[in-house]
Amino acid sequence: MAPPLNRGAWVRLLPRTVFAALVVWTVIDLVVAAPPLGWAIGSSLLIISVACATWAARTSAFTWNRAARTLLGLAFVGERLLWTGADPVPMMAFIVLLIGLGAMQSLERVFSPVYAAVSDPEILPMVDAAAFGAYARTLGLLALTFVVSLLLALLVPLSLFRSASLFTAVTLSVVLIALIAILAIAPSSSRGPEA
Amino acid sequence: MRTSLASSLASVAGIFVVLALLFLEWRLLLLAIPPLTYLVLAGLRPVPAPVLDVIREVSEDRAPVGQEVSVTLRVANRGPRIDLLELYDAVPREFAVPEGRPHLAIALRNGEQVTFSYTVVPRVKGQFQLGPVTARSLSPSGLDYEEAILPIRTTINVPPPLEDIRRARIQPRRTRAWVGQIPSRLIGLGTEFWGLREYVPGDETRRINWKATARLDRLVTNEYEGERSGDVVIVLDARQEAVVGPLAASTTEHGIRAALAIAAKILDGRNRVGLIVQRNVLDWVYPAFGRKQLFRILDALVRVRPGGEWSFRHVSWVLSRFFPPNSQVVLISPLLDADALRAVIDLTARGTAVMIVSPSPIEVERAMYSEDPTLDVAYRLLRMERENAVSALRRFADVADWNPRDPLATALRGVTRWPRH
Repeated sequence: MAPPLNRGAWVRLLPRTVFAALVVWTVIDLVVAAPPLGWAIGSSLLIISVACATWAARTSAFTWNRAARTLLGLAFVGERLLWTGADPVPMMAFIVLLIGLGAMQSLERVFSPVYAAVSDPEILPMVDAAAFGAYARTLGLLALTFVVSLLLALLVPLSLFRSASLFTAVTLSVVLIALIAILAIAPSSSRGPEA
Repeated sequence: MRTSLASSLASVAGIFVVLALLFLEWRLLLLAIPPLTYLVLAGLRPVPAPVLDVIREVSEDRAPVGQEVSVTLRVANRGPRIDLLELYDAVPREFAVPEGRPHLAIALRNGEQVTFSYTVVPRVKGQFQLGPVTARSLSPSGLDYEEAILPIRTTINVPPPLEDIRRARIQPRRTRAWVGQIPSRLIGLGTEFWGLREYVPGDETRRINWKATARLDRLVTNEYEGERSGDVVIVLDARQEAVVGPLAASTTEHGIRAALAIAAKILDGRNRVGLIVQRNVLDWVYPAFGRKQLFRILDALVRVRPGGEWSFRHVSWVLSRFFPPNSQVVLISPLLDADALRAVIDLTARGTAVMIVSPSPIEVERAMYSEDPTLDVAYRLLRMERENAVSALRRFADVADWNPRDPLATALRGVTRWPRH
């Protein structure tokens, strides 16, 4: 059985690897397509993003991770829209990975301190089972999200948008915004204290 | 309940929709699809609310500062299976957790039970509560959770450490009629020889001095110095302005330690001891004898938290109205303000015998900083000022200027034995 410290390291390593991969992806895009101005803006955003992520890792102040993800997303999407070209499939893949990064960082927040402290051989398998299940479900959900997103992108007659009337565009936008609002402020189903 | 990640995803999707409308760029609208899809798919399987039975056991419910207390939590799931359950037991910030952690993340089937332990070490005295237990059923997507706060609390009493001052010579200056251990300079019940007198009918045979009887050719009886007890009132200055240093090593905490040690020592000598604590309210324990009184004083001291601005005038008033006259007053104060000095002068002017035990605020502050030449100069100046103040007070009372890094007994050794009246 591996010592708990190794498990904790794995829990920390996974989101950091994803973050590093996304940064490298953005850097490659910048190198390939961006002009010097793009370089300057993009690399500044990336440096700040990496600094935020490093600060979050060093101080366990996990709110900095949100800033790091936002800046990374901003650098990638901005660079794609302005210079490389808005190819939907890689952009959707990037966004799905960015969402996955957020989910894994929240799992890291839960499991990292637990693995640092738990050494009881009876408890450790239960923590392992929970961690394995949580990561598996997260990765599965991300894969499903990507596939469904691709299907939706194919199925929705997007070409209508360019030629459709203002009424169609506004109606569809209102529907989307309403859906977003429902998802964002869905009523809580939490119960009160239970003994 | 939604997490901030869910709100962020919804916001991002909204921003893409708005940007698509603004720039009439349909590909931006496509970017809103993944966050929305993730939100919808994650919402298809809501997380169950945790329904748990939790029992907490502690190895000690009364532990002194620095002693380890083992805490065991038994958690049983009475609701549906929870794939990711995060448990957190609230530990007061005055406790260190040297072993284990009051935090666990596990999967728990219906009816399954888990037991986990951790150790806490109290760093300051007081009455503390462990709990409540927070149970969160988390969605692995990181988008929502259900929380239950289980109001299970366990009280741990942390008494201040009891210093050994058995060899210190502290006793009340004035005695009363009760039998005690203080030689009273009056004839009475005791063990110290005082003198001889003519035998009177009723004298105990064992008190007849046979050598003197043989020499004087008449019955002579030994007389002994009566041993009596007295009253002591300990006044603890726990006002906000008397606090110097971090919570665990503040002048108030040291004062509490001194108060307990002095109370134990004086009660041990069969004297009555009372207590007045000057803080947000004016707490007092009326003088009484014995071990029960020590526990009463201990309970009062455990609850002391510095605060408030009660003037010493009120203490003097309470002393004169509610406490036995001619009680010895032991004032425990860092002597940081003129009010304390005036109070001592006022009490002695009324004929009250006062002893001062003063945890030095300068030494407490010095312990907080590393060696520095500038600080050293400041320290020496402050120390000179304090020595002057202490010298001035010694005209009115016995003063033990106590460096809290040293044992209290060392400081009390410098106090002269009080003259008896």
